[in-house]
Amino acid sequence: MNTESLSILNIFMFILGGLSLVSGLGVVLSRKSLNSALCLVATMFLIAGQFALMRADFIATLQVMLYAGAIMILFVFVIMLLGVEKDAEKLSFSVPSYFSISFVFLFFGILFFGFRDGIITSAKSIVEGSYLDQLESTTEPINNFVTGTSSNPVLVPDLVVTPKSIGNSILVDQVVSFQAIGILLLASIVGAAFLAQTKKAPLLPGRGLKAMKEKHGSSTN
Amino acid sequence: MSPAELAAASPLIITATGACLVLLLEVLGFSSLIRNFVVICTFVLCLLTSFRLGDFNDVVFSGSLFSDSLTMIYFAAISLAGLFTYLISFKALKGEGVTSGAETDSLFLFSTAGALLLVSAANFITLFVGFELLSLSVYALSGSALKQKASSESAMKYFIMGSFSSAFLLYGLALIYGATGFISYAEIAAVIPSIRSQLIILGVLLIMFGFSFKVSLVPFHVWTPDVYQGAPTSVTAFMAVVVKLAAFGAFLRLFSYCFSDPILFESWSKVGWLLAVLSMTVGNVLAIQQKSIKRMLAYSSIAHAGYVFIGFLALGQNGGGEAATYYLLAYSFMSIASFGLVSLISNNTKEQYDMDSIASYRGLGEKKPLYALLLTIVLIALSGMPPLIGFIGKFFLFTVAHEAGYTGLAIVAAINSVISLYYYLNIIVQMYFTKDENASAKSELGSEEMIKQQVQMSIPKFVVILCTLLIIVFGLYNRPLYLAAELAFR
Amino acid sequence: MNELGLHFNLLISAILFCIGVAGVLTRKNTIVIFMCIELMLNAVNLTLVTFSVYLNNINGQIFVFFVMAVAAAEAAVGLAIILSVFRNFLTVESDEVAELAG
Repeated sequence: MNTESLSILNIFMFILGGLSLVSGLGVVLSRKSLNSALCLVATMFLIAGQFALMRADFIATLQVMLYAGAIMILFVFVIMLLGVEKDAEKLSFSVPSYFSISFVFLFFGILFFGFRDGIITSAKSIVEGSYLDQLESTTEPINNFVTGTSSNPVLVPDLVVTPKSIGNSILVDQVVSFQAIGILLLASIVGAAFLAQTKKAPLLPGRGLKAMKEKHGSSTN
Repeated sequence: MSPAELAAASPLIITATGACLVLLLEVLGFSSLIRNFVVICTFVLCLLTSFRLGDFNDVVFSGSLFSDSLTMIYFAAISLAGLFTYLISFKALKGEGVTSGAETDSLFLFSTAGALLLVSAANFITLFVGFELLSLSVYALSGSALKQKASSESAMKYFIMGSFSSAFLLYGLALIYGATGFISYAEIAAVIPSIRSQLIILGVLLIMFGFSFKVSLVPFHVWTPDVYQGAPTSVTAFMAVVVKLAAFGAFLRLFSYCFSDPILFESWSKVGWLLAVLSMTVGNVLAIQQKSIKRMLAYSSIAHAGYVFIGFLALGQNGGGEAATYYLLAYSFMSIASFGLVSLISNNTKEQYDMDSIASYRGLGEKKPLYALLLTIVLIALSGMPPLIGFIGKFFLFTVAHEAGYTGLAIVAAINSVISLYYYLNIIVQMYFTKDENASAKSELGSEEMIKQQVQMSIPKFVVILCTLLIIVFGLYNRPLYLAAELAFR
Repeated sequence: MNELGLHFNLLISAILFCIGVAGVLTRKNTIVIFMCIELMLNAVNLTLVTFSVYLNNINGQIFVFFVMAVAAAEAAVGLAIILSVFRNFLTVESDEVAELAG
C-alpha cells in the first residue's frame, strides 16, 4: 500500500466536498421549495468545482451550463408558476417515518461496505501523519479496487480530455447513443408539450396548416 | 453499412423515422386515417426487418449494439406487441379522455424505439439511453388523458418512482464501471472473473434493484397497481407487455453475458431468489381482494414477473433464459388479450371508471357472450391450466428451476399458480353465474345499436380474437414458441 | 489524482446519494422530490467522473455527458407531468394527490 500524502488539491477537495454535503442537506431540509431549488443550484456549482479540480473541464462546464443553467431554471419557473408557497405556513415536510430513515441508513451501510477498505486506509494515513506536499501528484492505477485491469499500464500522464477525444468518442464510438439522445430529446419535447397544453394554449393551433390557413383566410376576408 | 449493422439498426431507424413522420403528417394537416396507416406500416416494417437469416452473432457500431438471435426474437416480439397494443388503442383512447392522436401515436413509436434500443444494447451508455427513452415516452403516455385525475396521478407516481429507480440503476452501472474500467459488455464479461471486489457485487445488486422497479418485482412494485389502474387501458397494455419484454430482454442479456460468473452468481442469486418468491406470493395474495379489474391484473402481472424471474436463477446451461423468454412471449399474448378485453368491455358505456370494478362484470355472460367467452379463455390461460399457453410456460419454468437445484422455488411457484386460479375463476363465476341486479337501472342499448357498436370497434376486437386464438393454438402446438425461445439463447 | 481523492470523492457521492434517497422518501412536495432525484443523479455523475479520472479512461466522462442529456429530457417531461397534476388536483403535495385507492 502506498502511503498517502495531503496536497493542496486535496484540501480544496475536502472543502468543496464538505460544502456540497451541507448544501445537499439544505435541499432536503428546506421548508420552502424555492430554498431547496437554490440549495440544489449551489450543490451543482460545488460539484462542478469538484469536476474542475479533477481536471474534467468539459464536464464541469457542461454541469454549469446544462444543470445549473438550464434544468434548474426550469425548476424555478415551475415553482414560481405553480405558486405553491402561497400558504407557506403549512409544513411540507412529513415526519420521517422509521422505515424510510432505516432504509437510508441500511443503504448507506451497504454502500460503505463496498468502499470500506479504501476509506479506512485513507483515513488512517491522514491521521497517522501526513505533510503538505507539492501540487502535482502522480497517478498510480494499481490499487485494491482494480487489480491490474485498468486499460493503461503504470507510468502514464493524467487523463487529458480534449474536444478532439470527446468528439471522437461521441461521433465514432457512441454514435448510436448520440443519435438516440437526439430522438430522446424530441420525444421529451413532444411529451412535455403534449402534457402541458391547455385549451387556451393548445399544442397545435387549429390542428394543421390547412386549418390555420382557413382561420387566417376567414379573418382577413 | 454491413448486413449486421443494417439488421441491428433498421428496426430502430424505421421506428424513429415513423414517429417523426407521424408528427410531420399532423402538422401538414393530413387526416388521422393516414396517420394511423403510417403507424401500422411502421410497426409492420419494423417486424419484418427484425428478422435476419443465417448464423450470426455480431457486435456492431463499435460495440454499441448487438445483432444476434436474442435481439432478433425480442425485436420481433416487441414490434408485434407494440402493433397489437396500438391496434387495441383505436377508438378506445378517445373514450378514455385522450383527445389528440398524433402525439400519442408518436409516443407509442418513440417508446417502441426505446424498447428496441434497450434490448440490443451492448454497452452501458446505450443501455441507459434506451432505458430512459422507453421510460420517458411511457410516462408521457400514461398521463395522456389530460382531464382525468387518475391519469395524471398515475403519470406522477410512475415518473417519480421510475426516475428514482433509474438513479439506482445508474449508480450500479457506475460502480461496475469503476470496478472493471470498461463500459461494454464484451470487455466486462472478459474481465469480471478475475476481479474480486466488493464494488462489483454492490453494482450488480443496484442494477437489479433498478431493473426490478421497471418490471415490478416485489418490494419495488408499489407503483404498479396505481399506475396500471390510472393510465388509459391500452397504455396499460403497452406497459404490461412491451416494457416488461424490453426490460427482461435487456437484463437477461446483461446478467447471462456479464454476471453469470459462478462466484458472482452465488452472491446475487440469493437476493434473486428472495425477489422471485416475494413477487409471486405477494402478487397473487394481494390480487385476491381487489375490487377493480385493472388492479387485479396489475397484481397478477407482478406475480407473472416473479415467475419469469425464476428463469434468471437458472441462467446458462440450465436453460433459464429460454424458459424466461418462452414465458414472456406467452405472457405477452395473454396480457394483450386481457387488457384488450377490459378496454373493449369498458368502452361500451360512458362511465369508464365505473366499469373498472369487477362487480360490473356480473352477468356479462348473457349481455356480451363473445367477450365473456374470450375473457374466460384468457383468464384460464393466465392461471396456467392446460392445455393453454400459460401451462406450458409454467411447466417449462418449473422444470428449469428444478434442474438448477431450486426445487423449493418450483414448489412455491406451483402453489402460487393454484392461488391465482382462485381470483381468475372468481371473475368467470361473476360473468356467468351471477345476475346483474342493476340491469334495469343501466341504460339498455337496443339490439341494433349493440350490433352497430360491435362492428364499429372491429379492429381491437379482431386483435383480441387473434390473440386468444394464438393462445389456444400455441397451447396445443407449442413448437414455434419453443423454437423461438431456444433460438434466442443459442 | 491520488487515492485519497478517489476515496473521498466516492464517500462524498455516496453520502449525497443517500441524502437524495432520504429526501425522496421523506418530502411531500413533488417538486422537491424531483429535486432530490436530480441530487441523486448528480452524485452518480460525481462517482463516474471520479472513476474516469482515476482509471485514466474517458468513457466515464462520456457516460456523464449522456446522463446529463437524459436528465435534461427527464426534467422536461417530469415538470410537464407535475404541471398536469397541478391542473387536475390544484396541489402538488403527494399525500393530497391520492385519488386512486392505495
